[in-house]
Formats: sequence, structure tokens, C-alpha cells
Amino acid sequence: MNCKEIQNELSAYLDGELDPAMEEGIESHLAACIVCHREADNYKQMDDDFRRNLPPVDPSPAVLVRSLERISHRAAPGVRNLWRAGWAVIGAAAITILLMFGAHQWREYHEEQAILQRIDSYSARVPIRNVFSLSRYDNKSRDPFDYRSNLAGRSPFQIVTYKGGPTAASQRGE
Amino acid sequence: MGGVTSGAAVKQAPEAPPIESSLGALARRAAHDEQAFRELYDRMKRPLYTFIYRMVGHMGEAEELFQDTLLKIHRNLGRLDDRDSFLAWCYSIARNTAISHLRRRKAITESIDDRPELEAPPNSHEETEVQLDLRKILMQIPPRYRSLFILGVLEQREYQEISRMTGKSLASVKIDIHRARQMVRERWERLRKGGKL
Repeated sequence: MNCKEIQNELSAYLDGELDPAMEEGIESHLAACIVCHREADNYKQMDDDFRRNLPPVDPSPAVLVRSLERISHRAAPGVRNLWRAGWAVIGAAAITILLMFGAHQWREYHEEQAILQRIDSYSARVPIRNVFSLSRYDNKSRDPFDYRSNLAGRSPFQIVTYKGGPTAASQRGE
Repeated sequence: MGGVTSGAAVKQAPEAPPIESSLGALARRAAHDEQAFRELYDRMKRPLYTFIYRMVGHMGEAEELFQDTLLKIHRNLGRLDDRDSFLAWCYSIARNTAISHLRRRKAITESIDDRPELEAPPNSHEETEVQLDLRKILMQIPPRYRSLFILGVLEQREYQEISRMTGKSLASVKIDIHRARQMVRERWERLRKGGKL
């Protein structure tokens, strides 16, 4: 091994982490090479300097008391479970409301789409005046401009009359 | 030229007390038994607190982080595997807690210059200038290298154990400890020659 390779292994050598053969190789190199020997010596001095001057320390006695307080506070199951249950109920209610609202919107949209589709297909086949004449049978609605309230329970023939056609009043000649 | 070679490869006794297998049983009892937790605390406080203090260099922060570490250890005692090394497991929690804290601190001090001053440990009478300088050197190297320097050089733990603590491969531990030593030595030599840190 050359000096560079030896110096790359010095750290593990100083920590006693090399296999015996490698360790022996390094020791014989260090015995012969002043540069690598000085390098190893330097590392060793530094390690000793740090170990000597930065001794282990203990925490203050209050740390145990505070830690036990935190642990016992955290471990109080009654309060914690109550909070958890409360949040679970709120979460479930919020999800249910969202789902119901979504389902309602979806249903309304598809109902309107189906009705409009039927109107379109009928309008393509029947002269518009015939469509208007069918509105005479509409005896339920008194307000033909109230489109939404008139959608429910009507045939598409009746609804068409409200989309730009004559009003019930004009049909009666008023 | 025998000064280095004679004792270099002999692993000295680590400064932390050896943690025998009975500690695992004690740890499991400590999940529900306060007395067992106190006993566990007495045996773990010095190595864990020293490690955290060396990582952050500030007494108040070290005590807070030590408490956080204890809380995390207590919370997860039930999940402790028989095969796990309890000490390695505790150290990995302490290391992650300290590194996360240092990341947060760095983000804050980059925006406002309020880096905490290095503090002397509570049980030291007076910190010498040399001690302060050495701790400054430690604080100047990146946290992940700092943790490896502390574990490998200061605590003299085996690379295999460090590998379990850090989740790194053995080869990676070996390379990184060498790199950490180089970083520290660069500053240490500058200091010895009368330069500034």
C-alpha cells in the first residue's frame, strides 16, 4: 500500500476496526514512513485532546421530574380518548354531509340532462307548433316562467312551451 | 516510531457504561412502571444527554431535546423488538431528534441572526478556553458528520454499533468517520497554530 492508501485507513486503524492482516500492514508501514507516522500521531493527539476536554455530562435533576410529568400527562387515557372520539364524530359528520350534498347535486344534474335530451330529440321530429299546442294540456302550471318548479312531473312536450314558446296567457288569447 | 502503533488499534473501553441484555427487559417494564422508568433513566441519562449536548452545544436546548427523546422512547417501548439493541435504538432516536432540531434552528438562524451561544454544562465549574474552542470546532462540522465523530471518536463505539444506530452501512460509517476526522483536524490544527476558528 502507498502512503495515500495508508492514510485513508488511519481512522479505522486508530479505532481498532481493521482486520489483523491490514493492521499489521499499516503498522509495518508506519514504522518505516515518517510522514504517515506523523499523520497518525497527529490524529491520535487530536482524539485524546477532544476526549480529555469534553467529558461526559449529566442533565440537571429537574429533567427527570419534567419528563415524568410530560409522560403522565400524555398517558392520561380518559381525556385523550374523549378528544379522539370528538374529532372522529365531527369528521364522520362532515364526510356524510359532503357525500349527501354531492349525491343530491349529481342526481339533479342528471335529471335535467335527461329531460333536455328528450326535449331535443322530440323537437327534431315534430313541428314546433305541434309542440306548442300540447301545452294546452298543461293544467298544472300557472306560472310558465317558473322553469324549475315546472320541471317536476311534466312531459317534455309541456316543458318545451316554456323555452321561448308562447305563454299560457298568450295561448288563451290574452 | 512506536508511539502511535503500540496502542492505536486497541479499542478502549467506551465512556458510556455497557448496556447488558437485562436493559431490554427493564425497558419493557418501564412502559407501565414508573420505578422501572426511573431505573432506566439513571442508566441512560449520561450517555444520551452527553451525546445530545455535544450535538447541539447548548445546555437548555439539550435538556429539552433530551426530554423529547425520553418521551419518544417511552411512547415506543411497547414496540421494542427483542433482537434490537436497546442502546442503538435509543441513540438513533436521540440522533434524529437532535438533527431535526439543528435543521430547524439553521432555518431560523439563517433568517434572523440569533444563534444560541455555546454554554458550559451545568456540572462543570468553569469551562476553559480550550474546551470552548473544541466545542466550537464540533459545532462547525455538519451535524451528520458531527454525530459520527462523537460516536466513533469521543465515545469510541464500534463501527458495527454505529451502523445500527445510524442505519448506514458499515463501509459508509468507516468512510464518514474518516471524513469527519479530517474536517475536525483541519480546524484543530488551525487552532493549534494560533489561527482563528
